[in-house]
Amino acid sequence: MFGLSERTLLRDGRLIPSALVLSHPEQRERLRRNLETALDSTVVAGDPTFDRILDGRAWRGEYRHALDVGGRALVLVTSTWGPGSLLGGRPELLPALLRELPVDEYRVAFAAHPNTWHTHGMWQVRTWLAECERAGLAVLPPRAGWQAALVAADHVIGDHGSVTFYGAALGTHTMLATFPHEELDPASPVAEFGRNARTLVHGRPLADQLAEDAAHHTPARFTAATDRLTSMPGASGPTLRTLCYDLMGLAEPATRVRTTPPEPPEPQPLTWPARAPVGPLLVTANGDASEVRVTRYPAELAIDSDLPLDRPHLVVDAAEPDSTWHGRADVLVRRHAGGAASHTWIAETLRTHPACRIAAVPTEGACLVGTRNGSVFELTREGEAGIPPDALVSAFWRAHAQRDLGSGESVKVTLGTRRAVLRITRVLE
Amino acid sequence: MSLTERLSVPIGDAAATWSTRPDCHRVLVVAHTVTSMTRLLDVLPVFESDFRVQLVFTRARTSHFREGVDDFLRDLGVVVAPWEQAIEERFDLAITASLGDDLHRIKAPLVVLSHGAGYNKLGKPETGNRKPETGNRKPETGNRKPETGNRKPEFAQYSHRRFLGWL
Repeated sequence: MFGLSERTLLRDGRLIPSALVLSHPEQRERLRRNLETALDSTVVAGDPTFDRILDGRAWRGEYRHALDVGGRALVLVTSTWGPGSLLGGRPELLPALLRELPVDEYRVAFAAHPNTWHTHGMWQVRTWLAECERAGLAVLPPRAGWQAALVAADHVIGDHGSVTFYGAALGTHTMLATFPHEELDPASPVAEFGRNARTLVHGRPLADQLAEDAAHHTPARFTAATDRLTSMPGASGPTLRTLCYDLMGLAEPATRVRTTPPEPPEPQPLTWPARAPVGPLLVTANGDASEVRVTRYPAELAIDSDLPLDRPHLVVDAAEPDSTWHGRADVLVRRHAGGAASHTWIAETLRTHPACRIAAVPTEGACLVGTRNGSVFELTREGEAGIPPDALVSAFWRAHAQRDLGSGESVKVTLGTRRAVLRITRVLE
Repeated sequence: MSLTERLSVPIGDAAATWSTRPDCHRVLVVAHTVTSMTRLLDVLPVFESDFRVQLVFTRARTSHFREGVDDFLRDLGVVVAPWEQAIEERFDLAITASLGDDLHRIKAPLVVLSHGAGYNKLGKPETGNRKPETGNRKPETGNRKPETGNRKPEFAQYSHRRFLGWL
């Protein structure tokens, strides 16, 4: 028996709804088994929420910009409510994803069901997510944001909730974290989707699982289930207006019913002193003095984990509010402007932080770096923009470790899918 | 804004005297949860630009997420009638995206929408929202407007012949 039944629809033998709105005639067939007398009240009128999401597809670029996706892949993690949901049954997946997905390749956003927010309290849910937020998780507020984030997403990771199903219905690559089959009507479209989607398993690298499943994904993969989401995509508004005005006994206005795209997503802000603009990063820079691949992970989650990283170094922002990180940093970066002149700051930072090997000050399109032996270099970038100057510092870290660098040398740098050439100029012996 | 005080306008005792548009058709929007609210907000634009319609909101008593719903209603700038008043007054239409509380007591044709992607979850075991009739309900009060000619009589089962063809 699914949610629509004699218990919920009848009162004193009378049907409660005058019009029971269904999104697809498929629901009539299931309703027939539960309460045949309810069929007369049913009206198929599509899905107004999905219509807005469909309308939002024209604004995907804007939504991605609002979520600061850049050249990365956007992973939307979504949880419905209750113990069987992602947050209820497998909350550790969130920090695991943030630990394992390189920050320059993936942007991770999270949408929780409003019931979760309001059962436990906004403060409590964000307190649960504190470590993840510091590691870069974009937490969407309860009322809106998930709709636009779905449009913007490259991957959806979810559960048996509607947001996950909407993602699948958009044709987006969708995987599961949890799926309590027993909570669903086995004949429902969401149950069928759940039987066909892959679940992320424990014990294997999540980035690999995501990439492997995405490689086999086609937008039509789940249509056997998602075609039963709405029988009138894009046409829900006019149908519902006709229904409402007919019931009111009022002539419909001559105006067209407007469908608006979803509101732009606005992740909940997280500012200093909760975290610096960029949190501590654990970075691998693999290659030789001429070609380096830089991969960066949130240090708070990755540093004492079993993530197999090859000779990582720790890059910490000078504005990092948790001072413990300053003493552990291999590289300290002053991203914010102001304060002492760059050369002075570099010398002073290396003097006061004995463990620090490199102090760096990014400038417009370049970066000034100082090493322990007193040398100062200017790093400039050629080729693709989009590689942040502080990632060049990590490439420099590897090249510098290989040999003593002179002036006018260059190193090819790869960061995620982006490539650039790093030019090194010695400005101070 | 109080969510529990009875309204005197645009429904209630002073509605006829103080309303700017007293003859509007009235639509009652029943809010249960933030989720059902967001769903209703996707639908309510069907009433846009229509000077003949006044929407009045109410919060179902069965809402487990009262604070979230209240904040949402406040932020929207809607008029909110307490549930007791909402079921006393007569409306031309009521719309909701959940089945909690005594919706059968609403005096208007009721449109029920899903608050998710169709209907998929199995019904939960009985929650507290099916209490037997309690004794504290007000008897029919005398402050109702007399039936006016342009309002429908007590709503009877609506026939959906014109919609059945679409199924």
